[in-house]
Amino acid sequence: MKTLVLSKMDVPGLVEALGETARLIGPRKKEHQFVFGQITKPEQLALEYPTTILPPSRQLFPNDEPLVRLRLDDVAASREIVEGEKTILLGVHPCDVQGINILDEVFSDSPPDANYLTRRSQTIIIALECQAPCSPYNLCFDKGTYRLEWGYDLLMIDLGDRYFVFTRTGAGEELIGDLPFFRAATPADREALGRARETQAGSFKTRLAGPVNRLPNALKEAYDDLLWEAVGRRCLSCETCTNVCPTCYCFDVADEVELDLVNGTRCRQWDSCQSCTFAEVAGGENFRPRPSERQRHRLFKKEVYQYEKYGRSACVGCGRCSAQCVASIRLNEMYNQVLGG
Amino acid sequence: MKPKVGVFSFTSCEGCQLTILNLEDEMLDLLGAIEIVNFREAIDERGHEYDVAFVEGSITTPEEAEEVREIRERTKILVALGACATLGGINAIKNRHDLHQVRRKVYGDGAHHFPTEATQRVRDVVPVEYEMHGCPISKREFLQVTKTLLLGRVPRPSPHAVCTECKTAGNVCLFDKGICCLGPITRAGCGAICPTYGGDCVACRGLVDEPNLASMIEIMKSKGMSRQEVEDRLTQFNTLEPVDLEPHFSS
Amino acid sequence: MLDTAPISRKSLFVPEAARILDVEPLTAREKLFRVSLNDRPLGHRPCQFVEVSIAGIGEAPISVSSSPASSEIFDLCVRDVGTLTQAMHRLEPGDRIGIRGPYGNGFPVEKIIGKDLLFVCGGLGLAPLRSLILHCIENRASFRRLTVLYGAKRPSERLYREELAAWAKDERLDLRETVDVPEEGWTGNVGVITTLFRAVEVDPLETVAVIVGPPVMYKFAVLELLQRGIMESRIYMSLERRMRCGLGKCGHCQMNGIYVCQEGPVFCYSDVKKVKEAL
Repeated sequence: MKTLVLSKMDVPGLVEALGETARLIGPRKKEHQFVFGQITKPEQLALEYPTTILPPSRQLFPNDEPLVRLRLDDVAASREIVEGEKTILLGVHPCDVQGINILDEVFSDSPPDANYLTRRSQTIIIALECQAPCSPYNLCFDKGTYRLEWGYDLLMIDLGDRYFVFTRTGAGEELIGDLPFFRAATPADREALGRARETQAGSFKTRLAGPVNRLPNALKEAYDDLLWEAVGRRCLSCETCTNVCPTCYCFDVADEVELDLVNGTRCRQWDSCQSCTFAEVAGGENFRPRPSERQRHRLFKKEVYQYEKYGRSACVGCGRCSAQCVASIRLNEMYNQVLGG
Repeated sequence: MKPKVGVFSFTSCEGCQLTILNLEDEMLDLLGAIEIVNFREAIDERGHEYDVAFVEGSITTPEEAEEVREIRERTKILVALGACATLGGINAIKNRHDLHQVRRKVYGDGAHHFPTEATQRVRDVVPVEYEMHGCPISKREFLQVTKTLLLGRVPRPSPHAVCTECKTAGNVCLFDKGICCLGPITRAGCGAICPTYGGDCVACRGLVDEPNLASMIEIMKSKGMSRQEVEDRLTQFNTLEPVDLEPHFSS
Repeated sequence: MLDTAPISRKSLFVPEAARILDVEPLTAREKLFRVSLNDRPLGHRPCQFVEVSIAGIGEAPISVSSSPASSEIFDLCVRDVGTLTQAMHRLEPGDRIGIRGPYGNGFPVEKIIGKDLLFVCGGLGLAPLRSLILHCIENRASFRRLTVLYGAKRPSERLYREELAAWAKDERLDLRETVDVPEEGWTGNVGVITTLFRAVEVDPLETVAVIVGPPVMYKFAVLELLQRGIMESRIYMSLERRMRCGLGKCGHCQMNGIYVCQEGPVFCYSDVKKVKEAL
């Protein structure tokens, strides 16, 4: 691991240099909010952003992703589409890096998903630590996702006029290579880092009424609680909570046909366990017909099922589902309700 | 042999057939795949039997009801085109009033020359294989549905809400800008075109299969909307799907 | 960068070409398709399924209905309930379809050797269960009593009617049938499937039961079996869910934390009794 320093004055130069080596994706302003998008000019980059509408993990798992090239007249002519190009994700917050780590685990699990992994294997992540929580709904302090141990190639920490930069992987070091924008960190930089980290730690607070490691059991005990009914009454089944989640990966597959009625593409679309038809079988039986059951499933998938399978939660505490819910369904409130605040 | 297609128009602004005519990039491919034997705004020649009839507009007179029944008899597949045809749409607003007064208001002293009935959706008069919602319809959906029909199957309407397409597009939620939008309860398929350009969704594609109206009404109330405003919004295109506001506004 | 083992760039979604050799209507709504993959035998276990696809239409999970012994040619029994299956009903011998799979755990045939077998199936449940029944008939010496209880809604909705007639005369197995709604000419039992249990003699310590049917049937069938003293660990069932991808990813088939397409569709009652979304 190397410790380096990047002056904020040099960020535009860095953006141009990185843009020449790969497709550069970073936070951009959209109206009064932010989105991850391609950065072709330094002024598009908005590194000082609270959060984005969609998480950066969606860049690796795009909606309407082509999977198979089809010939309607010849099934034997079906050809796989596995795409990926060298991509740099710049300015990814720690919770969102953890979101990508979780998708990595899910899509690497047997049988591995070549479409995701091919794209992922060509992606470099430059993480950016947050200095303060971005919304009242963050659970990143409780979840321990406000800082990062792994899962990134480079990590930047804001020191005011400059960024402290950790390299984590060979790919990260290679990316920096001989770029003139970085210098070795000095004792003064390290001291500044220490102070920044102290301020940062003071600004993040516990939001939950109990420790997060109690969530799996607390939720299981609450399986038949009226809480779900109460949430279900408000839920609009609009699927926003899952679409904005960094770790949701459910999908549907559908064929698109060209007007020649000969060529087509089998594509993968984001889908959601909150959709009223998600668990419906062809015969019409619906195994999760009620919004209350679907909301419960969402939380259980994050905190119970993935905990049992992978030994970790699949909620990174980013707060997007709560912040963007039109019906004001708040994950932190529900967690507190089951933790028995 | 190419499937024979007819496009018919009843009470409407005819914007949906314009949408079809505006398919400039795809029109040649489309004409390569189908034979349009009747298109009111494009050609005069009248075919007799159709594989697919696209019917735009609501049914508001006895003559229209008669004509759409005849179309039904002459076509294998009937697709209702646009909000007027699928929901009654704007035309159905008059159903909330005394029709006699409506006639007098619109036609004045000559009202007796213009018979009118309560607005009906196409499916209220004849069976319909597919309802293509929207005011106007979306080009993309028209092409998708046409291709699906050409492949010999009837498509299924999207089970999702407009919010799904809006989120997928990475839009700033209109609620975050203080604007009340019907996207959460409206059937997707339009690509969230209005919210994408800053306009709130007005539910011109009808409601999702299981809309949580109770929750939506409470949300609208919390944004400061009066009973009348909530009613106007929810029924603008959906008069024929009455909503009981009483439980939400009785004090 | 992600450190993984060398990534297979092979997509899991590309279907293999298969040819329809024969199509036989079984009822007004179900057709039997005899299918052969171009390049290999299917190599399925009983109660596994495949993802069938028609380019431009999509995919659907279909149970394999034939014996594992002969998987160069395999059977798919298809009801025309969905987009894909309706399109499939229009196909003819010689037409080609796409196949992915087989998927799912399949039935653990090694665990039932030497036992009395009691098969309980309702409606379309005979389609997947037939693969297991045929396996047991072909390996008749490995099992003790072989009893098949089959309930259909109407006589005209019974699948594999010729085969059922043959099984009825076959001394190797004891077939009992019932229908919910009789039709003209039906002389057999009338009533729900549980009514058949009463006449069946069961050796509780030696019996393995397998249930496959519509969702509503499982609870009632398990109750009957438990009343007969059959052990929870010897009650198997194949559960239907929306198995969209077959790869344990898309989420549609999830039953609480279980991906039915990977860990199922065959489960033991003792394993799923605490899975709240199972039965």
